[in-house]
Amino acid sequence: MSMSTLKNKVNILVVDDQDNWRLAVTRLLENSFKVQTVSNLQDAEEVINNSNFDVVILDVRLIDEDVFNVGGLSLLKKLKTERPKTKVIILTGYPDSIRHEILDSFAVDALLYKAPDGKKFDVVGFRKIIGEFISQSGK
Amino acid sequence: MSNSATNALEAVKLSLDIYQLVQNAANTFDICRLAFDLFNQNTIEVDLMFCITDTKQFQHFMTSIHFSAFIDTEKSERHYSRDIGKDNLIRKALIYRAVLSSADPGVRLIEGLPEIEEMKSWLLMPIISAKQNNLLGLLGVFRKTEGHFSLIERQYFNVLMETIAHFELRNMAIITTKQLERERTINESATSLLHELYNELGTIPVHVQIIAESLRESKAVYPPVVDQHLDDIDSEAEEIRNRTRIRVDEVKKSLFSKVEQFNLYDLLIQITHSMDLMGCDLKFDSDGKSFIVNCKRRDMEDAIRNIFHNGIYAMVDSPQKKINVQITNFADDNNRHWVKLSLADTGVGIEPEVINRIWDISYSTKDPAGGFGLYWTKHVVEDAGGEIIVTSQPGHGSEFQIILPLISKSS
Repeated sequence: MSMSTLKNKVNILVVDDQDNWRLAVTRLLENSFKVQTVSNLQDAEEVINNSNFDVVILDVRLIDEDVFNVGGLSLLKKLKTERPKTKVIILTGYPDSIRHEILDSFAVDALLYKAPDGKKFDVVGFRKIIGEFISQSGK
Repeated sequence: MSNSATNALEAVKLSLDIYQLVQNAANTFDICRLAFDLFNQNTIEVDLMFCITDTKQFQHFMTSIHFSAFIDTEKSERHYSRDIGKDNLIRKALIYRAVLSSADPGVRLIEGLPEIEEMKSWLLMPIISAKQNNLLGLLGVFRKTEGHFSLIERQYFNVLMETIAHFELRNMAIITTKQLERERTINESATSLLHELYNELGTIPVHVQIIAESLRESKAVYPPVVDQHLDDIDSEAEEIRNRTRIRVDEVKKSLFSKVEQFNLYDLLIQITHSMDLMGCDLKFDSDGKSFIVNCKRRDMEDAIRNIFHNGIYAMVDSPQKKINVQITNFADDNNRHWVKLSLADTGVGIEPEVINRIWDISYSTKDPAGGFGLYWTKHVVEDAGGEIIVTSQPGHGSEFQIILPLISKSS
């Protein structure tokens, strides 16, 4: 399937409170896919209720004070129970605060770090994961 | 006046118009965004947009350009005879543009100036701010003619600049806000700050990669130096991340900076000798050379520098640029001794209706994400057991008085 037709068929949602990261992820994906972004939990819930997404890229910490990532994890739970076919990628800038056992219990599809110490965001790996998810969806 | 000379003069006038717009911009990155808007709307024909991080430096450049670019094309034999420093790229860029805009043989590059091709290479060179505390780098963008960028490539540069601009503003806000509000949880706030800044910076390499991919895929002919510059930006982002860590350490040190006795006179001498006064005349009076105070020296230095910076900024458009610094001592009615440091400028002054708001956190006439400087200054002075007072006469200038407990004084 060509990229132009994929763009009409593959919907990706980016949930991140950081403007720069919403922008950067959008730029990485917009040529090939239809990308929508939201910056907070409430908007994310509304959009998810009203639309189907093939992939959701989710930053678990949607407000700075939420050190236990309650907001992001609640959204993750919603996705996995109400939209089981949607692939979820956790994209976080706080690797130390991620409780892997919680992520495992929710069967998160991928976990990526925004800017790990001394390293850059893995653009190649990110695109590869997206590509694999789309392939698995049969689109 | 010939048409070509008129065009040249128009080109220069546009430069001056930009200058006026720049003066009204809130901060350096408003300037960048403004420049991009004008550029993309084709409102003006500009061969080059330079965006630099330091507003003070940019204003300095623009001030110097004001003189050299004001071409009198009536006198067609007039030469560009000013001594143009190698690094004064903006000035050169504007002169280059004015020359290109004019077919008038009288408006020409004089012997001794570099060849046009070499000047073109200067235009292509972005100014990367690697050594300034204000982070970030620049991009040079140029119009599409042979070997220049396509529209989509310019759009990507625009996005990159937006990212950097947003980061810069938010960076300043994050650092200062957290510094003021989370004094008790130093380790936690420093770590959190570091993570946030690291995260923000992490988008820059992503954009750089997108730009590089786009350039390769479009197969456009573009100067090879562009690849080098993209690498420079990438490296710069890494360098900034490293400096971010250093800045966090500085925050820790500042918040932990100890109270000590020091000579306020010596501190003032140090400050006035190390500051770029931007052409302002400084007059310094003192009724002694030793004024011992007891407070956090590092914080007090920052506080005093901030007042200087505000005064210099207020005098950018003033016909007279004078700073009067005076340090004296006095005893109050209870026979307690104090030192009074007065800094008076001849700037635009502060309107009566806002003078009480200048101490508010986030109030700023310069920077929508700023406004923390005077709040912090007041905090430092009061933390030292002192008081800061401001008086002002709009259109004539302002005076800040810092009054601190005096430990000892000797002539």
